[in-house]
Amino acid sequence: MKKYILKIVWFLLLVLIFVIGFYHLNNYLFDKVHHKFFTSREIDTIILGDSHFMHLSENAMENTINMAQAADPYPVMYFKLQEALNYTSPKTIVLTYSYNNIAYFSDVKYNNFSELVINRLYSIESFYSLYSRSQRKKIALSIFMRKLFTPNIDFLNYFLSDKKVASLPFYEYKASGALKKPKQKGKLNFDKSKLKERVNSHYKYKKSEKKLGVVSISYLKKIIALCEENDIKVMLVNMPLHSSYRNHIPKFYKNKYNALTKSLTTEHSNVIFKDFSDFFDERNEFFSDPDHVNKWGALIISKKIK
Amino acid sequence: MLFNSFEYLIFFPIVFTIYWYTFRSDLKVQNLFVLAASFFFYGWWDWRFLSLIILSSLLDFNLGLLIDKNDNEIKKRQFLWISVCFNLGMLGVFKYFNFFIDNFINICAAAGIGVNIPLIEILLPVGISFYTFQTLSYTIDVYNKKMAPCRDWVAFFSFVSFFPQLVAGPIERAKDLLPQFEKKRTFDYALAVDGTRQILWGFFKKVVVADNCAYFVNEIFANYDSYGSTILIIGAVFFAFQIYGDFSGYSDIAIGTAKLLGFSLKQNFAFPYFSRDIAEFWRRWHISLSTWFRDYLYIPLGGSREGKEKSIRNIFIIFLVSGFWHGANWTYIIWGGLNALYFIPQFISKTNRNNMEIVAKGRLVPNFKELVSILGTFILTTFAWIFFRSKNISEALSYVSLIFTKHSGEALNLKDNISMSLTAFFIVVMLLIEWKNRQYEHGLYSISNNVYIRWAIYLVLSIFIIKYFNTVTNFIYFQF
Repeated sequence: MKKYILKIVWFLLLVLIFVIGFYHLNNYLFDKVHHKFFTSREIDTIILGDSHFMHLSENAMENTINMAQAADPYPVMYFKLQEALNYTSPKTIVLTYSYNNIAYFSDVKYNNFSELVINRLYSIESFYSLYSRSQRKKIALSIFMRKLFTPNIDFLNYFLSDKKVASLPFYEYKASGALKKPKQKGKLNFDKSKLKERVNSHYKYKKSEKKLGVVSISYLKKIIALCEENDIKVMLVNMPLHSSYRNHIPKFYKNKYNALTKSLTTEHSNVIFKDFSDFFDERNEFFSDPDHVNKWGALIISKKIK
Repeated sequence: MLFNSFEYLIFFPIVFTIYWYTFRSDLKVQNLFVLAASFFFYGWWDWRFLSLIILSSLLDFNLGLLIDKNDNEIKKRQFLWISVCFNLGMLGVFKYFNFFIDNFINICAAAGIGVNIPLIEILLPVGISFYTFQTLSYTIDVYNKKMAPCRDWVAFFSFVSFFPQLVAGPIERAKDLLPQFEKKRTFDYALAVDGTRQILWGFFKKVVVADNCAYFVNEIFANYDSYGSTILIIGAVFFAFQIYGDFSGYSDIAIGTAKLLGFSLKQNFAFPYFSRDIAEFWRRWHISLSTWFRDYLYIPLGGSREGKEKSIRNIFIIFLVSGFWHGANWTYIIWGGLNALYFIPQFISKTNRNNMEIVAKGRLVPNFKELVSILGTFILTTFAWIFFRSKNISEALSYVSLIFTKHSGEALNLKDNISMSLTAFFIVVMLLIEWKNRQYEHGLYSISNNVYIRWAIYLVLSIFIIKYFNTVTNFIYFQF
């Protein structure tokens, strides 16, 4: 009996050593890969945003990296930026700033231990501060498992080649490719009957109530404060929206948005605001759907931002 | 409680320690502890259904004694029928009531008669198909004088509710398992080590192979009409390995756990996908159920002793009943019927006992003929699995027809393609390891004489189990 238990204990110890060792090795590699990613290129501008920003072209702007990912809420952008600033000193941050970013819909994305946030930020220690101590306990295993088993091909790149690290555990980098010119009279690929439903899903809390994303707004302000501390300009960009979508946005949000814009630009000298919301108006060829520009539309906006 | 849960990882070490260190000296107290642990294990899922196990045990324990005590053959038979009716009745109410009512309503509707019988909304008690069969075998064996009745209620209740095999088998015979509760058990080092290896292997099959297959199987079967034949074939093949990994994995964990407590349970799967024909497959798949039907249904019906026609009828009956045992759905019955159709030509041509030895005995690899037979058998069983997995017969038929007619369809995304290849790799690893151990009881019975290689393999398997450990997934056979 003793012999058996001893054997089991030895084996479990071996597993434990392996698990802890692998966890720490991965932590070390996260740091190295993050470091290599940011130090192996000149970075003057970092683009942070959600799906509206994903197609903004790095090639159109010099020394720029686009770290935008679909559905990223401001808290995720904040921790990404915080991590980037550990390794690099950009001069400008181009930040998504649309009506939907301040709606309660954005708060929902990271609430209730959202998988989205954990999946994207598990490699960044500082993001734990997003949660209370009891919440952290609940997600600890989830984060531990992700850190333990993260097969990241760029870890190999780091050791085996001089290539630039192409992606990070918290951000999948995609280089902008060549673009075909769109047809002049494009057709908006969206069912208009579903438009109201789509707008409602972005703005209406519990179907009819209107509610601001308090946490999102607080993290927007934190991003601005962080940039202020580091002497970085913040360019808030309201991306083009198709008029069919724009006209459905509740006035409540437009008013709150305008008031917030005014206070941010007057209170912070490092903040500038660029409004492209009606830039393409009804030019369908520049939209992939009513609230997202396509690659061609994004290229034009990228040149404008530059 | 699920084997693949954190609760079980805490529960079992506590049970193991108390079992051997505190209650080793007193058999009755040790059995009482097993009973308490089993009730706790089952009650963790839903304590209310414990009453069914207690009722079933109470009834069969007393009926066993009454059958033995009574000299009057008619009374004996009456007691046996009470046991049969109660256990099958319980199964009928909880598992099949809605199925029969639903079909009755449909038949009446087809005949133009409007019938309105309300269906009952009731949860299927986990493991009911397993423990009712187990306790039924006891009264039948006592009636047939194959064993003496048990006079120790603690031992009997422990036998019915023994937690390692309570909810998904193997379905143990009273004459095999009950005596083990009646004699003192001592810790056997070799048995415990082998049990631990078997548990490890069971977890690998369930967590790494079956659960990874399940991801694709669920997606493909849910949206089968958007995929082309290649993906549909992959879906069917993955399901074949999912159900094998899931169920044989459960059996391995159950048998291994029992070994750690000093019990020997019967082998439930003997590497069925290495079978060269359907008859061999059915000697190797879910052995405890197949032999149960053989002994308590096929043989009482006359078996193969009463002419060819009756034998064929009997074969059909046990395959159909076996299918129906799995669930109240026509898909299971068709699955059973298909297997009967596969089996009967072998029975008629008297080739059903051709392959009694393990395949490629004494050789490292099978010869060409064996390989073709194995593949052929696998294709036949996989085809039948499509019916088993589909929600209804029309879905199964569409799935099959799309395999032959739809040559292009949606592709899986790149990430899915990578994890599909990884899943295929795990299947190959499982098959290779099991091939090496095909003459033994389980896949990790004998791995290497070199202790370092052995431990390295255990370590790698453990790491993969930790990686894919998912407490959300259930065992497929829980629903039966």
